[in-house]
Amino acid sequence: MSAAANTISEVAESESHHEHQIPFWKKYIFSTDHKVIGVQYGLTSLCFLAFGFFLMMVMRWSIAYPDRPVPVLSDWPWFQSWLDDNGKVTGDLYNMFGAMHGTIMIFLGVVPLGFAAFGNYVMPLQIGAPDMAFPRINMASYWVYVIGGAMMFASFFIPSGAAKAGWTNYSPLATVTDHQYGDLFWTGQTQWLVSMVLVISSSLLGSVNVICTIINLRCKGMTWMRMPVFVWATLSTAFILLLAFPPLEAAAILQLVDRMGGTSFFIPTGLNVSGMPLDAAGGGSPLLYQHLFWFLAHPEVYVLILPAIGIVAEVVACNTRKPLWGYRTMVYAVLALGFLSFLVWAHHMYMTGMGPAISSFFQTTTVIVSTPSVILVTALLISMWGGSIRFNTPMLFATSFLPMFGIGGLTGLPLAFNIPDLHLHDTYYVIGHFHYVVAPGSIFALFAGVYHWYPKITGRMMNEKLGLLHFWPSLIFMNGIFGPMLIQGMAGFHRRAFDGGRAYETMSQQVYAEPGSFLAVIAEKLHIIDPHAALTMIDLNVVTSASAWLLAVFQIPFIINVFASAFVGKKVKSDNPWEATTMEWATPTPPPHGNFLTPPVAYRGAYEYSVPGAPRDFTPQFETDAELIAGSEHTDDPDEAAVPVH
Amino acid sequence: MQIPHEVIPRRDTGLYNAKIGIWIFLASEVMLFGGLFSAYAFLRLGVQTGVDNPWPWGLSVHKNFVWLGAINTLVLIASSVGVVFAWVAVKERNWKRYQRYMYFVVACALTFMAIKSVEYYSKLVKHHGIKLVDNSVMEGTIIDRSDKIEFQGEKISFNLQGALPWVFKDFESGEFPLLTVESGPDEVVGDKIASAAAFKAWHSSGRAKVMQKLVDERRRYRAERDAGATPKPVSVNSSVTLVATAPFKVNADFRRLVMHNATALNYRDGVKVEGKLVTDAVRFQVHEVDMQLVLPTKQRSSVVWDVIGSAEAKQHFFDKQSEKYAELKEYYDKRGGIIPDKQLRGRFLNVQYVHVPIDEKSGGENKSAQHDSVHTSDMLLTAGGGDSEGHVGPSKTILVPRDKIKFMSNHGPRYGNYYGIYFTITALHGIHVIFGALVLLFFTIFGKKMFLENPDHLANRVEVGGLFWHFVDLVWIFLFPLMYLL
Repeated sequence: MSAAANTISEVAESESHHEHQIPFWKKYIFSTDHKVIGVQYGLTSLCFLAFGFFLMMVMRWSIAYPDRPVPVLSDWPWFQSWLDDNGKVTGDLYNMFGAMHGTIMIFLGVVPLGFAAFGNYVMPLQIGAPDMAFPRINMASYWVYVIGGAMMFASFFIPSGAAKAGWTNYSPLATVTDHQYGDLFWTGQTQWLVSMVLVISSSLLGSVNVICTIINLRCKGMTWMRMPVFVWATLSTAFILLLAFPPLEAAAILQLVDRMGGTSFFIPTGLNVSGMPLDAAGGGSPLLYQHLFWFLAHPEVYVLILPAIGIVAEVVACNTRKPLWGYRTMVYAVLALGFLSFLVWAHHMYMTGMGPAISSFFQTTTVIVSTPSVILVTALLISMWGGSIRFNTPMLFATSFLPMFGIGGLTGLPLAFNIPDLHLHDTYYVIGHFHYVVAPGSIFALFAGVYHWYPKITGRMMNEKLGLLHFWPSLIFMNGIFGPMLIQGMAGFHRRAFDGGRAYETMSQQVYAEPGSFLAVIAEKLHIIDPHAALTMIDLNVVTSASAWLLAVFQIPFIINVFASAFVGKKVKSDNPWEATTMEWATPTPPPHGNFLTPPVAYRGAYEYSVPGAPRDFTPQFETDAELIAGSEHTDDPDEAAVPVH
Repeated sequence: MQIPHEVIPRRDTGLYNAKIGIWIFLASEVMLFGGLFSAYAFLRLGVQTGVDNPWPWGLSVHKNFVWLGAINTLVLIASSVGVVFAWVAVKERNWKRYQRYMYFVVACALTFMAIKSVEYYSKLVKHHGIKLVDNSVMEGTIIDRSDKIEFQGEKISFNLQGALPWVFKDFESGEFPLLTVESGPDEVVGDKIASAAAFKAWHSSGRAKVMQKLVDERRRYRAERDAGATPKPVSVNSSVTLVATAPFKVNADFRRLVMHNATALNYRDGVKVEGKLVTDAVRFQVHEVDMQLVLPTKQRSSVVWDVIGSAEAKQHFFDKQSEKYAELKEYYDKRGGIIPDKQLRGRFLNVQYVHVPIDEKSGGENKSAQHDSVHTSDMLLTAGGGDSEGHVGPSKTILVPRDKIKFMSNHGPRYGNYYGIYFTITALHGIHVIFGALVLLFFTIFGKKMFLENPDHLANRVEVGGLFWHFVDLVWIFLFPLMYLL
C-alpha cells in the first residue's frame, strides 16, 4: 500500500473537508474522537508527570542538603510561605510533596499516559475500529479525569495544603489529620479522597469502553490471535482497572465518611489524638483499610507495566524485522499476569502482623506472579536474537526497558519473602525497587511509544539527534538515581526521613565496601562531594539528587522535540514510515475522524516480518496478497512472490 | 461516522455494544459493593467482646425494621419483574403497555425510598444510645436531642503557634466575652480583648511575635552549636490562657472535640476550655439496657442502676436475665453440654428490655426525682414497642448526668460500626435506586420518538437499564439478610 499511500492521503484530505464544519471547541476540546482524546490524555498526563517530577526535585534538595535553603524557589514569594524562615524545606512540606508525588505520578501521570493515552489512540486503530464503542463516555472519562486532577492540584493552595499522609493514605493517620482547619471538607486530605473518587470513576468509564471496543469492534478478519500484543495488554489492563479500582473507591468512601461523618470504620478502640482519647465509637480496623487499599494498589503496578510491555513488544517486533518469539505464550502470560495480580496484595502488609499463615500464602503467590513477567521479558529478549536491529530512538528506549525492568523485577524478589522484608520494609531499597519498574521501566517504554507513533499522530518524524540526546543521559541518570537507593536501602536507610537520614551520618560503613560504589567514586572525582571526607552511605544522597536534577535537564530535548517536530519535523513519505505490519499504519496520516477510508480487513497475524518468500521484509496485516505484490517495488521475481505468503 | 453494532448484535459475539458495556460496568459495581460487604464482614468479625461497641444483636429497636426491610425486598423484586414486562411490551411494539409497566417500576422505586426514609428517620431522630463510664449501654430516646454540648466557660488555653482556634469562631456570630490574658508569652500578658475583631488582631500580632522569637531562638541555638558549645535547648513559651470576666457560653460541636468532661472541653485543635457543663444531664427515655461490655460480676453494681434509679427496673433486668439463663440451661442440658459461647451469653442474657414505671416516686437518690414536674409531659410510648415478649408500655424519662456519659449518639453512622456500614451501604444503594429510576423515567417519557423510529434500539436501552435495575435489586437481596436478619 505504500506506493498508493500518497494518493490515499490526498483522498483523505479532500474527504475531510466536511470535518472543518465542526467548530473548533467540538473538534479539539470536547471531542468524541478517540484520537483527539488520546492526545488530550497524553498531553495532560505529561504535564502531571512534569509536575510530579518537580515535587520530587524539591524533596531531593531537602534530602541532599537539609541545612541549606532551597535555591531559586526560596526567592519566589508564594513558595516562601511553604518553606521555613531560613528558606529550607520543612518536614510538613516534604510529607506533602512526598504524598502528592506518589499520587500524581501513578494516578494522574503514568496510568493515564500508558493506558488512557496510548490505549485510546492506538488500540482502536490496531483492531481496525472506526472509534471507541462509546465515544461520548470516552469524552466524559477524560473530563472527569481532568476535574479530579485539577482538584488534586488545587488542593496545594488551600490553607491546609495538599494531603500529607503518604500516597497510601493509611488510616487512622489520614483520618485524624488536618482537623485543626475549620472546614473539614476543604482540607487536603478530604480533597485527596474526593478527587480520587473522580479519578477512579474516570478509569472505570475508560476501562468499560476499552473492553467493549476490543470485544465488539474488531474489524473483519481480526481474530483474537491476530491482535497485537499491545491490544492484549490493554485488554488485560482494562480488566485490572475495572475490578481492582472499585475496592479502593469503597475504601475512599469509608474514609470520607470517617472524616466527615464521625464513623469509625478505620479507627480502633481507644485511639488517642493529641494525647487524649478520641470521642468516637471505635471498633474499626486500620488493617481493613490496608487490605482494601492494596487490593487495588498491587494490581495497579500491573496497570503501570502492562501497557508498557505492550508498547515494547510493538517496537521490538517492528525494529528487529522479525516476528515476536512466542506470540501466543506472550498473550497467555499477559492474561495470567492480569489474573495473578489480584492474588498478591498482602505482600505489602507483612509488617502488620497478619500472621504467618497468610504471609506464607501471599509469599507463594508473589513468587508465582513473577513467572509470567519473566516469560514476557524472555520472549522479548529472544525476539531480538539474530535480528538485524534498527537502533533508532524508540528501539533504544524499548531495548533499555528490558534490563531496567529486569533489575526492578529481580530486586522485588527479596521483598516477596517476609523474612528479608522485615529488614527491607520501608527502606530506600523498596523505593529503588519499584522505581526501577516504573521509571526506567514503564516511563522508558512510554517514551518509546511516543517516538514510535509520533509520525502517525502528526505526520512528521521526531528528531533523531535530539532523541539520542534524550535517551543516553536519561538512561545514565535514571541508574544514578535508583542504583544508590538500593545500596542505601540495604544499609537500612528509612524512606521517609525528610533530612535524608541525618541519623545515619555517623554510620561507620563505608561506601567503597558496597557494590555500586563506583558512583560515589565518580561523584568524588567530579568534586560533587568532598574528596577528603570519609565517604559514608549518606553521601550517596548527593549522587542521587544530582542525578535527579540532571535527569530533569535532559528531559528538555524531549520537550523541544515533541513540540517542535510537529511543525518542523521531517515529513513522512508514506503512511507506514517504519514499515510495520500492524493495522494502525493502514490509515491515512494523520488519521481522519472515522480512521479508515474503507472498512479494513485483517488478512494475517500481527507480526509477519521477514516471511520467507515474501516480496518485502514486512507483510502487513491489512494487505491482500495481490496488494502485497503490487506494493513491492523491488521484487525480482514476481512469480516467486505470487506464492501465497501465509 | 457510524459506530458498528450499536443496535444490531455482532455475529460472532452475539452482543451489541451497550450490552457488553453494562455487564462490564456491573462487574465493577460488584467489586465496589463487594469491597463494602467485605468491610462489613471484616468489621463484624473483628468486634472484640468487652471492648468495642457490639453489633446490635437482639435489640428490639433493631427488630422493628425487619418487616420494613422485607416489604422493601418484595417491592424491589416486583419492580424488577415490571421492567422485564416493559421490555416485552416494546418487543411486541405496544407503547401503552410499555409506559404502564415503566411507571409501575418507577412507582416501586419511590415506594422503596419512602419506606427507607421511614427507617432513616427513626434511626436518626428517634433512637439514641448512651454509653456510660463503665461501658454499660442504654438504648432509648434522647428527649432534648441536641448534639451540641452546652458549656459555661471561664478560661481558654491554646497555643499561639497554631491556626485561629475554633472556639472563637462560635463567638463571631454570638456574644464575645470580655477576656483578659492571664498567662502567655512575656510581651502579651494583661491585655484585654473585647471583640472578635480585636481578638483576631491580637492573635495575629501575638503569633508573629512568637514566630519571630522562635526564629531568634533557632539562630541562637545554631550559633552556639557552631561555636562548639553545648547549646541551651530552644524554648519558646507560646501557650496562652485567657480568663473571662464573666462566664461565657460555648455550644461545642462534638465533631471538633477530642474529649469533654464536667469541667473541660478539649478541642481537636488543641484548645482547652475550662468551666462547667451547663446541661449537666441529658433527658433520656430508656428502653433497653445492654450489659455486654460489663463483666458479669460488675453488672449488679453498674453505674447504670444509679442513673436509672429504679429498683424495680434493676429487678426486672436480672429477673429476665435469669429467666433467659434458665431457658438456655434447659436447652443445653437437654442437648447435653455446657453453655459454650461468651458472645451467645452476651446476646441473649445481657441485652434486656428495662421497664421503668411511670408512677415510681421512690426514685431515691436519682436526680430525676427532683425534676418530676418537668417530665410528666414527656412520658411517651416506647418507640420500639417493647421486647420480644411483647411488653408495651410507657416508660419514664430519666436524667443522665453528663459526667457519667462516655459516648452518646443517635443511631446514626457515628453510633457504631453496624450503623456506620448500614448507612454507608444503604445510602450508596439508595443513590443507585434514584439514579436507575431517573434513567428509566427518561426512557419512559422521552422514548416515544425512538420507539417509532427504531423500536429495537429502545428495547435495547430498556434491557440495559433493566439489567442495571436487576443488579440494584440483587444488592438489596444481599443487604436485607446481612443488615436485618443476621
